[in-house]
Amino acid sequence: MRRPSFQGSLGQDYLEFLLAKFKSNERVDGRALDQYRKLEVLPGVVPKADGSAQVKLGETQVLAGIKITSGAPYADTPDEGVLTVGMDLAPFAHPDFQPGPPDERGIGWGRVVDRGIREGKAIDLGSLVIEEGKKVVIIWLDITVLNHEGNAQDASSIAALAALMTAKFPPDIAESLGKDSIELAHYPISVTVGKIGDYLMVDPSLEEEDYLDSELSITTLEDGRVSSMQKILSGALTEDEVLRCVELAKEKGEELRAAVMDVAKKYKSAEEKKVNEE
Amino acid sequence: MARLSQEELLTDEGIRSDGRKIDEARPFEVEVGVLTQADGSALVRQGKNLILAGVMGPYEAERHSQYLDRSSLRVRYHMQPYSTNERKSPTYSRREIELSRAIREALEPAVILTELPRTQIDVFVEVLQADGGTRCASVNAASVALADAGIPMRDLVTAVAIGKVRDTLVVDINDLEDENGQADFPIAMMPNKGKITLLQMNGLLTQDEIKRSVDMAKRVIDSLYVVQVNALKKKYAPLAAPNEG
Repeated sequence: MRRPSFQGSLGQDYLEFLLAKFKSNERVDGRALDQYRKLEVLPGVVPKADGSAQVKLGETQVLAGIKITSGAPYADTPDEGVLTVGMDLAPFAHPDFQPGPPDERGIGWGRVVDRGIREGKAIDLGSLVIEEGKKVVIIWLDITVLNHEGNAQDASSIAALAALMTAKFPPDIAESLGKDSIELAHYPISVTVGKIGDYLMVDPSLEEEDYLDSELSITTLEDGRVSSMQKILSGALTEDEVLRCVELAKEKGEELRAAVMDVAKKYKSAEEKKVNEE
Repeated sequence: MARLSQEELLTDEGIRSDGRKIDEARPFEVEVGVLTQADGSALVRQGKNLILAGVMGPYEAERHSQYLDRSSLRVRYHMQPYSTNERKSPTYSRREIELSRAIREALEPAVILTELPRTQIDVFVEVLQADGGTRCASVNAASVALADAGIPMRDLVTAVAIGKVRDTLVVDINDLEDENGQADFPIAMMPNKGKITLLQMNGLLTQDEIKRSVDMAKRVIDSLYVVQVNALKKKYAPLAAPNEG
């Protein structure tokens, strides 16, 4: 049966219950306000893709897959490769998700990932040119939300980074570029902070999402700079709250980034070992 | 897609391009209940196919799509852009619509729709990696997901594609055999009922080959069925065990 939304069934009483918990820095699932759920990153789950990673953030599951092809550059950037980010919400991931193209929420998640990578200049698109003005590398990054239990935003950002870090160029492209993988200049990670009442919490759960006044996603790079921000929902934030969110994004982003880089590094050395053994 | 000759698809010794014998199915694994938001779910690995099926429902159908005497079953088969050798456009294709229907009609005979009047059951199949015979692997995943959702059923549905390479019938064809072979003959059955619920064929087969194909399919289906049942037991047998103490 479809689950009634918590907002509808539990209403104001549940909100007061949440706020009472927050007051003592506690959440319903036992976390502190600045604590993420358990993160699991599994690179290479789709071997036919040129890069892939499945991310489990608590019970939220996201899969990112990369296909790399070559083609004509955009007319206004003849000396740059192309990055295209697609977003898909599997209809079994949440009762509200409908088959077909994503709604404004799904588009929003994809845009935050896209801007975090693009504006952070994580990929040097200038290095992905095979023949200027004629033939460049096209990176198709497609993200699928498989199970939505809250904060699909950060799970998507983590899956995207892990897939990019572990992707390999197809042989013909590797040959014309003289390298076999995407060299990342930066490692963007988004951190999403929710606001309920006067409380800020990272990595909102699905139950918390029902009660959010507003939500701010901030993508940081490893050097502490911010490469994208997006505030959503109908609530408002004070200047002080925004600055606290940025602080949280730096601190939590560092933890998440370290976890992703560790997994990617181990995966790549295991892959290299496999190749050497063959 | 690589071009292979019939001799490359089957050696004189009867070995196929991926090392299998003619009557050898690909590795088959089923995991039940891998999603929390779906009412039932199953992840199937059949060869390099990686297929996730999720069932939502039963829930009250919209007025215009309500049947007074039974449930309406909807099936949506969808391929992810990164699931294939060449990137697949995310736009929904005619092929996906055709396969959605074939899968729905393969499942419908097994689901006791009259038990759930006025409701709707949605079966969503996401192909995460495709390796030939995706419709069969999708049926295998979807029927287990329906059972996991607690939908009343007469039997599970189990499917396999028979093919023909170098004038020889082979079971559970992969991508290369599908592309370069002489026939693709997907068959789904309710194994306990001995009834066929999905049947399509592309290629050229003789009457005798059709008879032998069905026999070969039956044998494979029986072995795949055991894997499906065991996967369900793995989740549900502990719940059914009597309380100790």
